[in-house]
Amino acid sequence: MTVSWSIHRRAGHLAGALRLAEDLQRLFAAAEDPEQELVWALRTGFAQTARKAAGAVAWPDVLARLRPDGPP
Amino acid sequence: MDPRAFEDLVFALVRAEHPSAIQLRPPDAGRDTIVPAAGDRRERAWQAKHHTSGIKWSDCEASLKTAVESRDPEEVTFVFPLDLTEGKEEGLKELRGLYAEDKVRVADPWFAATLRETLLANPDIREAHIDRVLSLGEGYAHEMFRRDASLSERWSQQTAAALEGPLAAYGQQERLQDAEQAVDDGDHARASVLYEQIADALTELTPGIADAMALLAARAAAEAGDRPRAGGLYLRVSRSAAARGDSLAEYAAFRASWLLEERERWRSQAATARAAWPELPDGSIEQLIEAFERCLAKGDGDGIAEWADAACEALAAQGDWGRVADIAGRAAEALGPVTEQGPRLEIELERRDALAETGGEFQDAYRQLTLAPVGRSAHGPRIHARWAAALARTGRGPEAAERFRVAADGWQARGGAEDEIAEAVLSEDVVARQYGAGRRLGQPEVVAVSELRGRDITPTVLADRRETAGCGPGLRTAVTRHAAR
Repeated sequence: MTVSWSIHRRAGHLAGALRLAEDLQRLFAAAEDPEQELVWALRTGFAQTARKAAGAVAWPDVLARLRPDGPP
Repeated sequence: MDPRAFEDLVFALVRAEHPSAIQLRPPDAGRDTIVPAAGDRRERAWQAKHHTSGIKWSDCEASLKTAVESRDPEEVTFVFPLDLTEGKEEGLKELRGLYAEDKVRVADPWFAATLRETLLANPDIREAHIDRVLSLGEGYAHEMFRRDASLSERWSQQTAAALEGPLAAYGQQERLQDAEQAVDDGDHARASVLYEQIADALTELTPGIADAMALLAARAAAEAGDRPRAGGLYLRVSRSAAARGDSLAEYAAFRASWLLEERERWRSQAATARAAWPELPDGSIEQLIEAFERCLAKGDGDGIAEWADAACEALAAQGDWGRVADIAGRAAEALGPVTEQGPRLEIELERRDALAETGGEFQDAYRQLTLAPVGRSAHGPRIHARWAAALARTGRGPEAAERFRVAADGWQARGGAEDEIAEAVLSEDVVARQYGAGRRLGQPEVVAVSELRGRDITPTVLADRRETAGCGPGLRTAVTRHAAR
């Protein structure tokens, strides 16, 4: 599925990439992997989910995922 | 498509074969389209049944009885927009058992597959009843007409490839027989060359089969004791399969690692890493970067492009845009201007996205790329779509919507890639929902757009295949259910 997301991203498919990112976020939530859940929640723009996932991840790992200079 | 439009479509298809056909409107005595009685033939009738969630035989039975009692047709054909499933066969048998065949014959129904085939044979009907309904426009229809000859040829080739076997359809059957004969004669070196020639001939037409042939070439080279050639062929397969996201990439890289000399083995390790990063990013990405640095140090242009492209893709998936910018920038400097699609173009696109993601100015860079020859080629629409996605990611809604529309128009003019039109339209819808700019789709439009399918193997097709492979329907259901709990 990451490959599928990557193909969508590289093809400029905003809708396809968001749909896959959402699936992956749910998948990692179900697998109880908050670090990866955080990554995909940030990509989907799910702020609440990202906040919740970040609570279960060590701060340095959260920091590594954040880009203050990046797009909103 | 609503039931009335479906009846119109069926009428058009019947009339294409029987010019005397006429269409009836309710009350139609159980027949939508008829070919009137003529000579010693009684009336023949076609009933369009717009059953979309499974065939309702009881409804067909009622229509058949009405038709027999009112008009005494010789033959009735039912037409459905879906295919017959195993559990529904019994209903057809029962329907046929209602009347003796000399009273009324229930012909083989037209199912979705029959309709698809008939539409292919009648492109004018497809254009009028399918494409126009989807608002693909007159300009598009004109363009399609202009390209019809070449597209039809390609379509026919693909159909023939499915029916006769791809090698016969693409004129490679004789060479394949020669290669197999060479294997039987123990002349593996010759067999390897012949298999590779077939692979070369099929690379553009059907890359999956080309890879299968290249694997045979590699195996034959190994049998002939030519290990460097065998290793190189396995690497070729790995590279090609990776570009399609095919899991064959890892297998081929693994085989290469057995054959290459120690000093060349880094190539197979990097190829393995390229196939493995989605599952195992730790370690794999560093290996890809190492391959890039090695090629950069040696001034190996092809290697720089290949491994910078792979490393950027993996790093972008990790959100490590700083390193994407660094690698893409150094690769671009070493490789010079973009002149064609492939890894070099991918690097340029990643470089621009890295700028966008790190808060840099990316618009001019994208604009320049669209004005370059590669931007005005068949790959232009994808560049516009990438630009649009970057605009959306950086909160520029109206510009993103406009750019997605440019991408959709570009795909439309190119033809054969309706999936990409669909993705651009759906992406504009996402922008409209998020930023209130651009065209927002209603539910029926979303369904219509999602069902657009073209003739080319586009990124959408590849992504769908990988998604299906990575997330079967059962897994998706489980995830959704879990999320809902």
